[in-house]
Amino acid sequence: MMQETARQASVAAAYRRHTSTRAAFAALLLFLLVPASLYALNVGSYALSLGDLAQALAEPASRVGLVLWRIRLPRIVASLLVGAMLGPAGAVMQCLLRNPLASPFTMGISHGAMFGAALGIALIVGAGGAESSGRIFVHNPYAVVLLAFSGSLVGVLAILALARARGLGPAAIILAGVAMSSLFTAGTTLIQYFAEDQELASMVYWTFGDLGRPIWRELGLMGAVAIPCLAYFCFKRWDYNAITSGDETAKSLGVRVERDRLLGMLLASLVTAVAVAFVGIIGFVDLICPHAVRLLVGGDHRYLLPSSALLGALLLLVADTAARSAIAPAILPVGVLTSFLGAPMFIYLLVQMQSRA
Amino acid sequence: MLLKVDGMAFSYRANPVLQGVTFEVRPAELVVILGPNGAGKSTLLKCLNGILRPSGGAVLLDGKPLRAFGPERLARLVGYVPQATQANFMTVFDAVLLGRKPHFGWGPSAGDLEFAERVLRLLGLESLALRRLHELSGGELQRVTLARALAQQPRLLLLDEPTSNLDIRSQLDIMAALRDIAHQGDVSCLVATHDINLGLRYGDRFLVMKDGLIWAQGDAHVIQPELIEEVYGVGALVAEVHGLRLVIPCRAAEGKGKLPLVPVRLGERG
Repeated sequence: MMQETARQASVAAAYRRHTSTRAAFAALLLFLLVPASLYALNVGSYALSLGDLAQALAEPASRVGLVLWRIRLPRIVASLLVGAMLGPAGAVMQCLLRNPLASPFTMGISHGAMFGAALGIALIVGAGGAESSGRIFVHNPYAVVLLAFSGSLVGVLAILALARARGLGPAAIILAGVAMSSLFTAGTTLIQYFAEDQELASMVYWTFGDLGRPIWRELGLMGAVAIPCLAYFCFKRWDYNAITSGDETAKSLGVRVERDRLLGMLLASLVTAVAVAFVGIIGFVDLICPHAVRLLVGGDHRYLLPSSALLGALLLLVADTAARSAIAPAILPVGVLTSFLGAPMFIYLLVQMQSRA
Repeated sequence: MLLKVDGMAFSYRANPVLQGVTFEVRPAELVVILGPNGAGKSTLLKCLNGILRPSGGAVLLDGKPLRAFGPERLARLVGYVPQATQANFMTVFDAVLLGRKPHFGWGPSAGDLEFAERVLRLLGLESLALRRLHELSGGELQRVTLARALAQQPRLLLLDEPTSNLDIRSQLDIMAALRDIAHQGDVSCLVATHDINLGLRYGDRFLVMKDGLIWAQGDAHVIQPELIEEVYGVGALVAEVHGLRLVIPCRAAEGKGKLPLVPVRLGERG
């Protein structure tokens, strides 16, 4: 009898243990962010001991403090924020389109945002421009973000319309995404064609993705958009689990599938647009992170979403630190590095998807 | 009466798929929907839980019109087992726990976990609890889908071809489980199937559909050779073997009545 009750209790208990390993994975990622951030803070032309680092941080007015507060810290925060935005955006799109290759980058939504932002900077007087140092600066971040979002909206609505049309499979949707990113890239190139030399140089650099650009005010805006969106995604985690099981199953579980899909896709592209507007396109982070998490701890959105955010932050921070130190003092564009990681992964997923179909 | 459907119609882009569908489902009974491909069986089921919206007629659940229930409330009353289930990266326990979604707010409680475990045990899935869905066989996946629907604690369970793609052992297991759920668990089941004999063996009542209409309904005795020929276009024998009512399809016309069967008592004809 005793044995019987012990056996009875085992399944739910085993499940609880199982889920706690998923939570532990998220906790591990969170923990790893600390040494990664400290290391990133210390990489650069000024090498500092941990004690000096703390002292310099405490004195923002000092020479080193200035470097930390004005250059390195914003860069680190940008890496963490953008990574934490792109990871879940990819996870949500993969879920809502039920397509393993979906992500803002592969669907051309990032490129739409890029086009919108470039249009804003080039055409709207006073929205932004290029400094003699070759940095793009944004006078009116709100206008630029709004235009980036409009660009991404064109992309996401086209994808949704195509996904709804009958007979278009997952691979076809991805091809449509490729076509759209080419189209938007062409549009961006057109803007660059008419840009002045100074603007051109920085715009080209921008298309590689540059985490060193945003200033604190822009980081604040990014956070203000990202945090509510990520909170919404996490709030919807059970609905996303249901949608992963199929639209009809989800509906039979009381999920308003169409509404959730539209809203989720819109918010994912908003998150992407804000990131792209300030740091440019950083490819494949949004594709890789959810897949890595899924392989390691499964596809439960309760854990997939936060872990994708944490892994995205970690990946981007590490990639950017590597990009900064690889050929120091020159800085590689971080997007180049993530693409080296992401493109093989994309091809692997494509082959896997085709062999399963 | 648990479910009362009166003159329900459904059209897909101006093509009528269902017309004047009228039937009832009582508490604790297993109703089998039979009919050829394209008869409207799946559409009928989807109209009963809000996946599709009927274009006419009335559907009353527990005496209240279906539309009066919000999606969440409806999900607490009606469970649905679709024809094909997406095998994904979720574990079996996750998938079954998902069935508790209409009942929990922010997340599952200890009670929800317990309930999911009870359902897993009921369907003999406890040893698979932490396996991922894409590692399961077709029969196991079908049982998981049923378990998820049962975890909703529905009063009415809609099942679309729950035994297709299953070996005969799993077919019998699933249907026997459904009958027990209906009779002992007081969950009425509405099962669409192509397997007439399996349906006859476990069903309490039958709806026979063709071209979006209900051609006949009633207990096992409505299943007659004439009806089979009319609906499926196939001549058939209806026989009883060891107390089991069986439909034996033959080639139309010439095959009728000429099958070399051994100890068979022919069913009454007309």
